[in-house]
Amino acid sequence: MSLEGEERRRVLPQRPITWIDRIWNYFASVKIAMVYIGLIAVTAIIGTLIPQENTIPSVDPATFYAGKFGRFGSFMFNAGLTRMYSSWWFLCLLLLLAISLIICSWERIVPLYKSLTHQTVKKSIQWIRQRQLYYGMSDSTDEDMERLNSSLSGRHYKVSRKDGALLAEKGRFSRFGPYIIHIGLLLVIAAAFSRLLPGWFFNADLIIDNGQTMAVPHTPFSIRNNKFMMEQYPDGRAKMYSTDATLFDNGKPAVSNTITVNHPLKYKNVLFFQESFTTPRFQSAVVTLSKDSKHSIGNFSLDLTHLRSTYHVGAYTVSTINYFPDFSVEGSAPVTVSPEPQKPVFIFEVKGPGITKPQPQWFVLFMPVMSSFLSKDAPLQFGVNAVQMTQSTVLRVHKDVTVPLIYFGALVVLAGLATTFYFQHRRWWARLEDGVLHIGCHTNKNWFAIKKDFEVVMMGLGVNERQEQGSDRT
Amino acid sequence: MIRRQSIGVRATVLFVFFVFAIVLIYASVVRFNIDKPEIDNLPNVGQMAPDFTLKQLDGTSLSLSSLRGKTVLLTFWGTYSGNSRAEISALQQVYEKWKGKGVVIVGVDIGEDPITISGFFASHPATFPVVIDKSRDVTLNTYKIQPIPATFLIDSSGRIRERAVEEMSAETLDQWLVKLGVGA
Repeated sequence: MSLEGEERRRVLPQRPITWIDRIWNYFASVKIAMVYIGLIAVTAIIGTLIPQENTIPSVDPATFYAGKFGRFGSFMFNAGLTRMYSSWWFLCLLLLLAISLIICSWERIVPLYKSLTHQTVKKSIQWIRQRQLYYGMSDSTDEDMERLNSSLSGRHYKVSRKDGALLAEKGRFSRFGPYIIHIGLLLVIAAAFSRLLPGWFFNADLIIDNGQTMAVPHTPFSIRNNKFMMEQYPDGRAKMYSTDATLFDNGKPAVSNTITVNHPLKYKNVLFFQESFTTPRFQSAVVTLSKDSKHSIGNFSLDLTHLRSTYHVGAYTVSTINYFPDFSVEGSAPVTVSPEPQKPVFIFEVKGPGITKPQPQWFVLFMPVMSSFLSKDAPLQFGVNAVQMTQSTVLRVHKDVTVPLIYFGALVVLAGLATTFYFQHRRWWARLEDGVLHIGCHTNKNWFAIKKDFEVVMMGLGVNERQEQGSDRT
Repeated sequence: MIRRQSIGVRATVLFVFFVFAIVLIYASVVRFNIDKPEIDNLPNVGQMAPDFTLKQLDGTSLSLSSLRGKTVLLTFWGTYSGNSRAEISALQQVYEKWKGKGVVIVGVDIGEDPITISGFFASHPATFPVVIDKSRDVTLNTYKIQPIPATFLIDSSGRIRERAVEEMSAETLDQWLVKLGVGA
C-alpha cells in the first residue's frame, strides 16, 4: 500500500484532536479490531464448552446449573455464560467489532479506491528506476513502446498511455481482498441479529387432524396432514410415528413427504419436525336405538364435530340435552375436563310412540356398557355400532436462517481470503525519454510471478536475459 | 491517522452507530428472552381492546366494537376449566348488580359445542351474552390467551383498563368497576 502513500497523505488541514477523534481513532485501529476478534473467539469457544440453556434437559435453568455445577454453575447462569450467544455482552462485542470493521474499512478503502482510480501514468524517471524491477533500454523508439504495450496487453494487462508514458496493471481487485473479508465478517455479525427481523425466526406447534390443511404462521405456506401413522409396542407405548404431509406454497402443492422423528421436512429454510401427537379422540359413531336386544328401531350417525340438537330414528326423535366431551365428575356434578372428545358422554331425551313422559337418558359413548347400566329402566336403549376415532399429529415448525446466513458470510470471508492471497496487483510503468525506454514494475506480492513476466516481456523486446536482472538499478 | 474526516462526519457516524447498537442490543435481549411470563403476551392495560365478531349461543353475531359506550367485562372461559366454572356465579352476580349502569359482561367460550355450553348454563344460570370462539382464533391469536379464565375490563372508549388471568371474585370485579368510576 506504500505506493499510494504520497497521494493518501494529502491530508485535510490539521485541526485539533477532540475526544470524538479519539473514539474514532480507537475504532479505526486494526489492533483493537484484532482484540475484539480474539475476545469473540474465546467467548465462542467457552460457549461451546458450557452446555447452553437450549440444550439442557430442564425447563428451570437456574436450578439445573446450580445442581449440576454447584456455585460455579450459579455463577455461569448469572453471568449469562449459559445463554452466551444471546447475552447482551456477547452481542455488544459483536457490534463493537462491527463498528471497528466499518470504520477501519472506511478509513482505508476510500483513499485506496481514489488512489487506484486516479493513477498517474507519467511518473518521474527516478521513481521508475526505484521499482522492484527496472530496465533501461537504450536506443529505443516509439516502436519499442508499442511492442511493450502489445506484449503487456497480450499478458492480460490493462494498459493506459499518456504523453509517451505507459501504465499497465493487472489484478487490481486483489487490493480489495481485505475489505471483502470485512464484508463477510459483517455478514456473519448481521446473521447473529437476523432473528430480530419479523418472520426470519420463529417456532410454532401445529396440531393437525388427518386430512386437515393448516396455514403455517409467518409464511405463505400451508401444510396438510394426509395421514398420521403410529406403531405401538404391545404395552401401548408409541414405537414409531410419522406424518404423511403435503406442503403448499401459495396454495400450490410444493413438497410431499413423510415426516418422522429426526427426519424433518425442509422447504425454503422452514423445517417441519414430527414433535408428538394428540391422544386419540372420538370423531363419529353410529348410534343404535333399540327396544331390547331383539328389537332394533334403527340408528343415527353422531358426528362429534357437528352435533345436532335432534336426531330422527324411525318414529322417534332424539334430542341432545347435554354433551361432555371429556367426562368426569366434580363433587356430584358431571363436568367436562377438556374440550377434546376423549371420554364423550351425552344426555339424550327420546320422544316418540309409547313414551308418555320423556326422561333424560345417559349415553356413555366411550363405555357403551355404562349406558345400558345407567338407563336399564328406560323404554329404549342406546347402543354403539361403529366408532370412528381420530388422532392429530403435532408438528413443530422452525425457521432460523441464522446458520445459512453465517455460512454465507463465511463464504464471503473465504472469497476475500482467496482474493487477498491468490491474486496480486502487478503494475508496470514505462517512459521513453532521450531514446531510453525506462521500464519498471512492481507487485504487492508473489515476486516470482512478476519476475517471470518481466523476463518474458524483456525477451520479447529483444533484451538478453543476462543483461536484465535489474542491473541498472544501482 | 491517515486522513481526517470533519468532526461533524465523525460525530454523526459514531452517534448513529451507537444508537443503532443500543437499539439492536435492547431488541435482542427482549426478543431472545423467550421465557417471559405468559401474561406479557396478552393485550396490555392502556391498549385498545382488539375487536372481534363472534356468534352468540342463539346464532346472532356480536362485535366488541358494537359495545362502545358501555363498560365491558370481557372474560375468556370454557366449561372444562374448573376456575371458569367456579367464577360464573360471581360474574352473574356482578352482571345483575351493574347492568343498569351500562356494564356488559361478555363471555368468550373457547370453541366448545353449543350443546355443552347450554347444558352447563342449565345448571349454572347466567344471563350475560356468551359468544363462541369456534376456531379459537380470537383467543389464541388476537388475545394470545393461554390459561383461562382471563378477564379484561374495557372502558366505554374501548381501552383496556384492567386485566387478570385468574378466577375472578365478585369483590375484585366490583373494585375494578368502582375504581373506573362506573355509574358515579
